[in-house]
Amino acid sequence: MVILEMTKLRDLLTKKRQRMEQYDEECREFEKVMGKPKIEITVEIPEGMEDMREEFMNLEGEQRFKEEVEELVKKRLRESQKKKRNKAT
Amino acid sequence: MIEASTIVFVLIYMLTILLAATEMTALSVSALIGALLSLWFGLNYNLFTYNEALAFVDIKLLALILGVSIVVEVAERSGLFHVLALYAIKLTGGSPHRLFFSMCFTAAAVSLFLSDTTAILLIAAATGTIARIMKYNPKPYFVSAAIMINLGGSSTLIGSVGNMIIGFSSGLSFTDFIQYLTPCEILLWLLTSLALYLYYRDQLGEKKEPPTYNPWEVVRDRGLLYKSTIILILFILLLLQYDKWNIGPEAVALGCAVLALAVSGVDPAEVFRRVDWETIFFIAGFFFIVGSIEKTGILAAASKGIFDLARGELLTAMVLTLWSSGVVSTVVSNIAVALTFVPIIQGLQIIDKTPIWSALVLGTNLGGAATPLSGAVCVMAIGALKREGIKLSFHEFTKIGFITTFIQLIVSTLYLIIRFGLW
Repeated sequence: MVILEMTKLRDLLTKKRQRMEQYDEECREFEKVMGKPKIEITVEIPEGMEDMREEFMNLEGEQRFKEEVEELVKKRLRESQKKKRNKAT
Repeated sequence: MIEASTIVFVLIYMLTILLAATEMTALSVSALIGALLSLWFGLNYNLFTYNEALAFVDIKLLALILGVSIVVEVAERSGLFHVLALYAIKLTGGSPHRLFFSMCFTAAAVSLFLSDTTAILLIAAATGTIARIMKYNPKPYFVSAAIMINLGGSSTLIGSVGNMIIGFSSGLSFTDFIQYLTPCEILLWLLTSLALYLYYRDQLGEKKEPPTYNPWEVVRDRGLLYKSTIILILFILLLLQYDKWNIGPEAVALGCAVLALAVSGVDPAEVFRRVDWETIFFIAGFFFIVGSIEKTGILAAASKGIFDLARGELLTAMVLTLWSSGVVSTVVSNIAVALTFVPIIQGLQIIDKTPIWSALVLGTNLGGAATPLSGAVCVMAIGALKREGIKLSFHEFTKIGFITTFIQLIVSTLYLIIRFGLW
């Protein structure tokens, strides 16, 4: 009986988890359209710096690094904007 | 004196319902276990032959479910229903009150085609996302969506599996369903959404500036969306016509499914994987269980019982069918309720059974959202709410679920009495 209950519990949890994973996936689809646009890029550790693995991995959670990337994005977008305006004139 | 064989088959029936309701085994497996036992005992008691048992399964019904699933799956993959949901949000201009009604009607409308679980995932995700952005409480939207999805599609032949079962057994065509039941469904959409609004209006939130977006961004392949929209429209048009050509709706559904697979370019293996095999096997198994019970004569006795209780009056038989099927389907799967009630109604000694079939369609559909355990759509809505960090108690859902189900059954009773001139 205990085994049966455990099996039932496992099945219920698996089914619910699968459905909720589907829900999260749907949410991501809608978030892409209605929410703030986001981009995801993968950056590999630069060649010759493989011994700095830990420092490299820590960059992901570093606030200053995030701000610097945001600044870079702003700079690139401003450049694109400028190019567009120049073309128009 | 009740025979031993009758008791055995009633026990098998009850065991199947118990296994399915407690989710001790998967829905399909519970019905298949019941089918195996029914077949074994039926052959041993010489209740039927092997060939007679094979005839219990209505292949045409299974073909219809399969065809509809494929057509709808291709349409869903195109992003058609996502675009509809995004437009439904965009057009509300940031008003939570308009958003509420818009989501209620969109939820009911998409469930005309999508299965209840797919529809609630889509609507809850769309509503959950906008609620997060606008900082609204998602609870009124999720609960209302579940109730409206259960209601949506109760007036069309392809709106729910229960309807397909009743349609095949009663001979009611796609147009008959529309003729007899669509006015009632429109009335129920309006009254249910109004009741839900009055219940939740203080929890909807304030008007805010909505995000600006293009709903078409969700579509990856516009060609696929156009093609699947055309096929869906063609499907509906053919369903309105098939009875003139002496073919069944399953031929139209399978024809459109083949067309959808041929022209969409979608990987058929992916589509087949997403077909609701669980429901198909559940029905196939349940056919054996109900077929065996029918052979014992107990369902004919139930028909006679209802007829006697109604004293042969159509009005009483209709009201009895509506309320008993409605109440039973709050705890038992509406597919099982439909499959069980069908032979009982077929056995009634009443000449025009259309009002009773209509009552059964409404009853089996309306009972599906009275409590959190009445249907998968309610379980999913509560699960999605939990994902958004909100807990909804059994009592809280049951309170509103019960109110709306009661309103729907009362309105349906009055509608059927007026529609069929039974006062």
